Amino acid sequence: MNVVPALPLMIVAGGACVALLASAGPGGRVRRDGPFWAGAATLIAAAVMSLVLWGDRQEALGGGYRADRFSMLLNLVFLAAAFCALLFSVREPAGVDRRGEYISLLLTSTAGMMLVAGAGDLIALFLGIEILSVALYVLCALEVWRERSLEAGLKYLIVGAVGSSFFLYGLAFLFGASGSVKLSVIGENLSVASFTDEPLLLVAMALIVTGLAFKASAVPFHMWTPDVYEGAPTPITAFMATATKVAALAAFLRIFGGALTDLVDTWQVAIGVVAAASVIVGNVGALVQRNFKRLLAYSSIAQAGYLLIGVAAGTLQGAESVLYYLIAYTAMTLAAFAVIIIREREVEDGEMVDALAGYGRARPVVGVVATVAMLSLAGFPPLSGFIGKFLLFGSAAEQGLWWLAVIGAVGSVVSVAYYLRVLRVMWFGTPAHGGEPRKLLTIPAPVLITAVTAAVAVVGFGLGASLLMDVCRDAAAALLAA
Amino acid sequence: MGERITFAIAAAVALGSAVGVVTLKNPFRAAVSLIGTLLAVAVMFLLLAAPFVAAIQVIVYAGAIVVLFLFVIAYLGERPGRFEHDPMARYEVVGWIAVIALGVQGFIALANSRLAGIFDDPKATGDIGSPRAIGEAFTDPFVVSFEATSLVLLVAALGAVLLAKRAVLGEGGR
Repeated sequence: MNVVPALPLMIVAGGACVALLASAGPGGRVRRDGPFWAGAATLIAAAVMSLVLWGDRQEALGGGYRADRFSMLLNLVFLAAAFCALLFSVREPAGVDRRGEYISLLLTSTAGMMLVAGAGDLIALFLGIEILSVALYVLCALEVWRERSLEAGLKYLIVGAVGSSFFLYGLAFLFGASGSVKLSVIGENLSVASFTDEPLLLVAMALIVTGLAFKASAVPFHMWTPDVYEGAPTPITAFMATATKVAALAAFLRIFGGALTDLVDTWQVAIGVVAAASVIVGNVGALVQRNFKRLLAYSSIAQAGYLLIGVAAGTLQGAESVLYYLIAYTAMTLAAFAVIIIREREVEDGEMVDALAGYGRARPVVGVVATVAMLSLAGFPPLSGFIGKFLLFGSAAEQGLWWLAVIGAVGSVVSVAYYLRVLRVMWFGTPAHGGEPRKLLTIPAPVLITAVTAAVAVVGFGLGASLLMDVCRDAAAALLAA
Repeated sequence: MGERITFAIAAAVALGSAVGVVTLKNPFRAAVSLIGTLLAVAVMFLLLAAPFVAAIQVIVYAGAIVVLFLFVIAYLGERPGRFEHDPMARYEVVGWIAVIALGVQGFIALANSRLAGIFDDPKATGDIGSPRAIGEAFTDPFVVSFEATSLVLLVAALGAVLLAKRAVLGEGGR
């Protein structure tokens, strides 16, 4: 039995246990700082292991987990997002008196995502989604003393359970129609016989799209997103908005881009419609938001739409652009949430857009981070957000999905309005009572460093786009490798 | 023929009890209704020639887990079953429509399916239900899923303890 390819996953799962035990360890110092260092060491070790395993597909543990370029690339994204969330959580109220549990849940959620990206069969895929979701339900509700946090946890739990059950129902149909739970065997079985218009398979695909759309917060299964994003502790929201979306898109690519790739004509329109609806609803919804967290929630719905456009293209080029945009999206969203994390610790209403009035002038570094993130999310060249969108829409247009490319482009133009509104308030707004923005506290160094690193990454992924594209192309090719 | 009749009865009992679980107002009765579903599923495992799984289903699920549920319900005591003005009550109809639509959709899909094996007589698939076969499945092809399940349980237990403790602290308890 081959264990080595599963090592990154096992390191993170083991690290979650170590972090939990450290919080019960001997000595106040170990209890206070142990979990953080255990978490950081775990994430770095798993990232190194993922880099070592970069290469052709290796099956681990009887084929339940597959280490290939696709899963290893996404591992790095998950681990980077978890590392940023860990640094954002320094002095976060939700994590202060329960450090071990907080970090342990964060790591477990990451392990679930890694399992989703590398799952070799449908059961492991489903369990991966459950692990990441259950850990996040708890993390959302962690600020029990705040009613909104509790509401967020409960809402996410109920909606998440509905999504999971749709997904599981769909997987059962897929198993029934294809006769196997192994992703590689499903692909083979379906490519041999003609399965076009087989009703069982149609139902399976519809249910799987529904279940995953819940997780990726795509329209029409997006209603929970603004409330949950607003209510959850902000470092957790940042983690949820980035890593969970990456995991859901990874599942989309594994199932539709990998196993069901021969049936592209059947599912293309369905995913295309979901993508178009997400772009429209997300962008229109964001226009009227006054709360920065809700604004980013609607923006993330729209971003899920852009990403699904690439999935709908159903080609290698589409998958490759989805991967590129996922990486860029993770960096720019983390940078945007860093601004909220910094501001909400200073003033009571720090998550409102108006609380940022004049903030760019008072704190130029944070202002520049926000500017880079917003411009990239809106898709200004030469930032990575622009390149990613360009690739996504291009891959759709190449497949004759002109309507999708047009909707995506119009959606991005609309999005400029609300992203730039934030920047206008930030640089040119005057605080409500005039003069200086209220109350400036020292920003914890880890938070500031993470914010700046994320902003630098947004620029860097744009400048080094061709290098990153090569990596993404290899990873996308691994989807179809036998 | 006998198999089909047995299956039809087991399926009807499973569905009926499952509807009972979600519609009965008294949580105690709902938990007892769950036993009906679990026992009916055990009968289906017997039909699949997996007596070991059927036995485990009865002992672990119908036995241990439902008893655990009943303990929890007994601990929590009687709670008001429903709010005075439940704001979600008017959506109940929509819920039932969705459930029925899903059922109809599944039925149509199965009825129109052209897959071999759905309307043919069942064929033996070899040993899938013996303790040996299950043990091998858990330790070789499905070891990842087996271990991942333990991670789900761990994180669920951790979360339950964490939130319950915090809720008590929030209410001013110890």
